Amino acid sequence: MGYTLKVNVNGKAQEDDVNPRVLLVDYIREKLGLTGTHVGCDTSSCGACTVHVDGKAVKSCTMFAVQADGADITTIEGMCQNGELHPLQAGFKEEHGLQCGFCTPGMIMACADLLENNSNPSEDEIRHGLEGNFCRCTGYHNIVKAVQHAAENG
Amino acid sequence: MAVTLQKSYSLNLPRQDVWDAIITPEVLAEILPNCKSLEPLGDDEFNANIEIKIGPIKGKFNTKLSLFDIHEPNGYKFKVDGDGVKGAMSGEGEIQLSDHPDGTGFTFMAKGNVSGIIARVGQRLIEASGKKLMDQGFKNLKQKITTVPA
Amino acid sequence: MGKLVGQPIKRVEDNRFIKGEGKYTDDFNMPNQTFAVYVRSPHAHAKINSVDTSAAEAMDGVVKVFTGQDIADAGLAGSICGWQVDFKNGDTMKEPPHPIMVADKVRHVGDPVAMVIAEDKYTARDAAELVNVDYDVLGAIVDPKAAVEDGAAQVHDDVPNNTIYDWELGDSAATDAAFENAHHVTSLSYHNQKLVPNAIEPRAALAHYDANEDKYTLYSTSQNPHLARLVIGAFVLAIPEHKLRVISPDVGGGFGSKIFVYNDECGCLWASKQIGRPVKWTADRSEAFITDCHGRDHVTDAQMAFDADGNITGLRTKTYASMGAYLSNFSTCVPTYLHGTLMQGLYTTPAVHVDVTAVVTNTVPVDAYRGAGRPEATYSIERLMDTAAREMGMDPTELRRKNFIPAFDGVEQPGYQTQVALQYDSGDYETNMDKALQVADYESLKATRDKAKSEGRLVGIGFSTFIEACGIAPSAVVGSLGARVGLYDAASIRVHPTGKVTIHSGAHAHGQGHETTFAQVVADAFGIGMDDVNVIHGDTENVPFGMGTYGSRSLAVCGSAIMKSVDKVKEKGARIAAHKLECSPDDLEFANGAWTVKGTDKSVGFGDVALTAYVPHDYPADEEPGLDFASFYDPANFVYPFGTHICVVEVDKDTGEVDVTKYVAVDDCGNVINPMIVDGQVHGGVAQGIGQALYEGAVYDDDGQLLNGSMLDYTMPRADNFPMFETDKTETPCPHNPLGVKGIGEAGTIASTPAVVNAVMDALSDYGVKDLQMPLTPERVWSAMNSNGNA
Repeated sequence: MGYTLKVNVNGKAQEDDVNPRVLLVDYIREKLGLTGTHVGCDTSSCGACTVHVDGKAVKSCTMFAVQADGADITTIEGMCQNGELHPLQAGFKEEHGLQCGFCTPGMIMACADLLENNSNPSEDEIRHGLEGNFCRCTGYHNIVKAVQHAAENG
Repeated sequence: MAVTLQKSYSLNLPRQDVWDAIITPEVLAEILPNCKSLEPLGDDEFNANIEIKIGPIKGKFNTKLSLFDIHEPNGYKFKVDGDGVKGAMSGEGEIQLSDHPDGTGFTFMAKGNVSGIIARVGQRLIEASGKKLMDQGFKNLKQKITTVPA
Repeated sequence: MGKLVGQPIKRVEDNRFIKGEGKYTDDFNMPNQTFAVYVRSPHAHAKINSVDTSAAEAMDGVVKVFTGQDIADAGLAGSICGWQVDFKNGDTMKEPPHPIMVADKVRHVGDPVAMVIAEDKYTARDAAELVNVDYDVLGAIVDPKAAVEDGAAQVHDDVPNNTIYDWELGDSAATDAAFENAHHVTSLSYHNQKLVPNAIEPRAALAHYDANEDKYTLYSTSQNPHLARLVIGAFVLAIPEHKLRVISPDVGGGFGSKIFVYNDECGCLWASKQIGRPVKWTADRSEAFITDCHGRDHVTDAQMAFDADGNITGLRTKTYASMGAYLSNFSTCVPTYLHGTLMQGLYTTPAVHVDVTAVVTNTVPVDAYRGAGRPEATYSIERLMDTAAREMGMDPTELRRKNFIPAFDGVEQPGYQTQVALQYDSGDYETNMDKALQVADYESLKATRDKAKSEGRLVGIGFSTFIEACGIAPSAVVGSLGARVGLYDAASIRVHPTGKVTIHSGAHAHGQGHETTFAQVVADAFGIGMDDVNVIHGDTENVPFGMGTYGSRSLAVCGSAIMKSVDKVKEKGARIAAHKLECSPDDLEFANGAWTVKGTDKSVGFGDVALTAYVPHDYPADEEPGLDFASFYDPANFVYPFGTHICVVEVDKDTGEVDVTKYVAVDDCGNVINPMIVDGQVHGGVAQGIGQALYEGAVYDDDGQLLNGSMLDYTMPRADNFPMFETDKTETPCPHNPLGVKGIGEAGTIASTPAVVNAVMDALSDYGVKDLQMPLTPERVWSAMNSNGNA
């Protein structure tokens, strides 16, 4: 195999021997067992696999694990701090922003990046900001409300 | 799905020189879009390994290539037929050489059919990719001819 | 309304999902597991000459390669069709075999020919590329109507003219007479296009055969694990049912596509026994596009006849419905019993005739997809209504008002008998439409539209007043119509010694929120808290039985089974309470979590009774200990939710792009347990229906290649395609189930598609465009605006 990958995932240092062809999402799910990050497509279209690499939202199915060498990675499992839900997690529950829950982790990670860049987005800005993430259950209505809720309470 | 590719170029070389090149298997292998190897099977027949990368899809095809209607130094027709895990491809085409103010006109025409994942995922990109591949093939040809000792 | 029932209680299941702690099938692993990848046909129709697996088998890390021939040699039957619909003349439905992998001939792009099993999924994928299949490509048939013509490619040798059955419903002679005497006839022809469900979680399986116990376990992305166990056990693999456990953990959306028992998952189970190791398979998206059952694909001619006053006098439709290349489990009932039977709509149409020809084509199999048949029926009726109103110069709401079935509650007034077999349970359609007109402020909407048009902007208003039949379904009725299963449901309630409650639900939640709504119902029934109730579903070993979740049935059918168990608990509890209170059970009333002797303050709490049932020291004679009941509920009738959806669009004159600017949905799904969840179901349903109207559709070329087989190419709606939806409700209780509930899961999808198309046609009314084929892409709309001499 032969590549030593050093990353910091959800605040924990990891060092693993990985095959250079392994996708970041497979490393996260299979090597680290962090199965909250999901795979919904093969074409970077759905956003279910979104994680943060050095603070920016990235579709982890479109990146090799080795490309993240040295990076700080945050997955959905790292969003809760000291047992407190992230405002987006609370917003999604409060506003019924999820149904089957499969797109939710990627949605939350993408929304977090959105709010990082714009703490008080308009409805339009939220909708455009979510263009990279598919949800097949909610019609996006309550996801928009969840982001607004988080922006107000964040 | 059906794919049509056609593009014309010109070369600052006598037509016979261009002809000599395009009838040489090694050069032909360079012109054919993403041909990885070309093994002669017999008279004007070859086994061609073609690797296509379109958008997110990469596929290898084992194809049989045959040349026919060969008219030196005006051009020839060709036929490709083959399978790969990512689908199948088949097609017919023509290379035409003609007089051109620059020296020789070179026209590549092909009509083909692809199936499988390349058709499914790549169809919006396939003609654009094809044009890029033709450009690359022509560039290779030009390089090959100009570096072939006269 | 109870303390909890009727309240927007936040969902219990969200706690795990928002933290990424949901457990979906692909999240499970087993020691020593292997990974399977299927080798699938790139051709829509081809004869297999040979399959060479030697290079794949020689690869390091490859455990085994199986082919269609191995399946044939094992004598496995493959997937089955669960509903027999015979020909008009009584001939038996054609039922071609659907093997787990094919050995002789592939019939659609994606048909599996081999399965490569390796130590890891990367190796399995590499090795799959080395399997060399030699095909002779055959001509393909894609168009459902052309499929029946002589000379069309034959998908199956023993299905002449590709015809599975022809079928009709209603009075043909009376309907034809209505058309002969009509004052006005409105006609439309359309392709209700083939849709790809695209649940965001791809299908997956983790299969394990335990030789020591001779027992199979299958984790799978199924909407109905018990049905899967029944079909796999009894038919596909012939495994004794008690030796097969099917677990559907969290499932990432279904929309119908995960109802069916697919061959792929069965193949993993079979292979696991052959190699003696667990086998894991997870579809990638491209594979999902060519293996998950698609929806719709109806080619329809529809006509509606009117008298001079605008009363509907007749409706007739002729539909060619594609089944795809094979008959999926419920494919055959979709265009018939879920489509033809809905053609009454909510109008008093006195003569209706529906004619359906079901065909096989060289495309991905078609089966129920959110709405299943009812969206197609509603599209026919509601497109005809708005078109007829325009043709006759009437307001679309007035045309509807004139033709609505009068209100009936199903108790004082009997149910409404339609011309097409169904008897509606209860309905008040005019009140519902009036509510929607009020919520949308129709008068001002019209003024806004007319003003916009006078300014040269293209604004349109579209309606859809729909009804659907769900809560599927009375077993005897569906049995008489050809169903090979019963469609009851089951649920048990286990009251624990401390008064805490576990519900074992036969319904399976994959977004519907059962863990919340079922708990609301039971907590209220026993006067206990939400926290005191737990819902278990999705495991054949832990849930006694169930028929799963589809056809908007969970609350109406499984909820009723739960209420039957609640009643049994209360009856027995009353006997125990009566013993403790030294009275007769008849003297007791149950309220606020306690049995009280009527007219006194003597009472005993639910928890006390539960404890007594398990510590029966002072206990009624002849009474068994314990407080644990299972029930089956077979519905007396379907349930019939209805509603009014109003869509407002603006069409960009320069580009033809359609923008949905306002959407009002007033649904009536009977009593509402959790309005937050009901609204969420409507939002999602409406979005999916708008998706069909404006964006989605499987595109095939004549060779049967699916040309938009990825999320890059197949347009699914995104967040910026929609406005905020405006929802409201009327509540007409269902008279025949204990909760008075109907269904809401599919209503939005059924209603919205014609509302959107109607709105676009209204926007284009000055262009003489009568109809457009879905999806209404900018290119189609622009082209229509710029033809007809409009350029």
